Amino acid sequence: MKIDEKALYQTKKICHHELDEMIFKYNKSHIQIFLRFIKKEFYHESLFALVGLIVVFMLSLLAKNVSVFCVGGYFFILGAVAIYEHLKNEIYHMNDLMKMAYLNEGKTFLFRTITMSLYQIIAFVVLCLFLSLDQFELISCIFYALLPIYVSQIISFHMMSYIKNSLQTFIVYILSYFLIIYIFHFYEINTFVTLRQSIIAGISVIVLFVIDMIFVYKQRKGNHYGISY
Amino acid sequence: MELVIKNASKTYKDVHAVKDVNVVLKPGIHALLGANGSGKTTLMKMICGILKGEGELYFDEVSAFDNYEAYALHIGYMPQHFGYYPQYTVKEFLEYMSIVKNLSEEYSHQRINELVNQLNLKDKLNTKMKALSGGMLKRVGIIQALLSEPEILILDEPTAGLDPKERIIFRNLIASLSENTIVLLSTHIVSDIESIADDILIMKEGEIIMQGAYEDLLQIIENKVWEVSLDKKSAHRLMKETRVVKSHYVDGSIYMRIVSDKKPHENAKTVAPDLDDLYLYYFAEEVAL
Repeated sequence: MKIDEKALYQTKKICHHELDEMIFKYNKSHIQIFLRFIKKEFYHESLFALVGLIVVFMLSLLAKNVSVFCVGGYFFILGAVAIYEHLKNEIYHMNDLMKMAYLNEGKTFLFRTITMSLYQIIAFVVLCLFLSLDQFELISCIFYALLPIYVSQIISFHMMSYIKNSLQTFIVYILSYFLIIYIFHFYEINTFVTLRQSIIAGISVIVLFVIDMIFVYKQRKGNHYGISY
Repeated sequence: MELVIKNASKTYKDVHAVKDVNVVLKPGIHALLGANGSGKTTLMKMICGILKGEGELYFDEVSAFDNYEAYALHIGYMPQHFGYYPQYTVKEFLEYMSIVKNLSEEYSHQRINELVNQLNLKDKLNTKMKALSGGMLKRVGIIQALLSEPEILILDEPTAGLDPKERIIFRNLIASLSENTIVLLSTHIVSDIESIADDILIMKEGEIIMQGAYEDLLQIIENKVWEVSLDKKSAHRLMKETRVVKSHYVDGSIYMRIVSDKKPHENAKTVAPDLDDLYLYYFAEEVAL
């Protein structure tokens, strides 16, 4: 078989050019989209987060129970964000445009939940500073409030292609959350885990989540265009 | 590059909004012409994947149903009632749209500048969306649809509310895109189509009843368009019996342009048809309403 080397080289060059254009055109990782989105929506995000922080902080301080009110307050604010996201598009007739966009309503809400979960770390640190928690309370807080939220976030992220609106995101998120809580509760995980192990587990999940944000996206790009980079 | 629509149907309760549409669209300007309620918007929303219906939809080999995310990347859409966040400035809104379309910061910055220059909106970049006139909003709508340089551009009534100057800008922009883009636009304004459309699709009661180039479609009503000048009494009688495209007073008599299969009056003479005549020929009932 005779192969035209020159034509082959030309094809390769054109393909690389096409690929370069695509790389320039689209974001290369979910972190990039996330940062752009959050930068744009910083004002609204901060408003929600600040209200959320105050609510969670006050409730936890008054009841002297971090895990329950952290989780309760967190989901209350999350629900409010989901309703806000949905109503905003409904009121301003943005539904049609958002349904077609890569970051549809469900995904923009998912991105907001990421910010919320980042703010939750701040809330957690602030609470730890103000409340004198014992070791058992700290472990419970990590395993019932912090860790499941990031695992739910990872699960929701993998379900991203199926998510179309904020309600779906909220359901996926909350179901995964309670499934994890059920597993932890069933095995009474806080009775045999040390504080050191809890902190390592918490940090590992956050690191895994960041890696996942990059990895999931690359896989999807490959699916879209039949290429990977 | 082609967009294939196979057996597309959409039913609302008992009403067939879109009925078994089969069309293949290639790069160029395709105009969707039809009366209100003929199914134009429903068909466009189905092509965009906003409305689910029956049938198949492919862009090249990418199926809208099996791989919507990949399919939607190729589409730019401007809805008839263009929604926006009123508190955003034009720049903020376009940046927001570029983020949700997953475009990189560098690319979108470059693209927004290019498009605002092309559509004369550069001086309005820092104006709030709620302060824009209808025509300017339409231009912002077109820009957001073009942000990702889509291969398929769907424009629902893009010229409604535009003044003549804006309409010319729009026509020139669309014409410049037609070489590498499949443009599908719906309109009531036939003069917009005459000058730029490569292909016209006439839609009636959810069906594409006709498709072809401007000249080919006009051949259908060749020798069916008449002009006649009559006195007031005869003119009024003829108006009741035939489909009159236009009429006006000239030197005491009434000049009329009529679409009719038969010669409407012994003095009538055939004239070259245009798209208004064709529209009336097929949509006489809607025009009468």
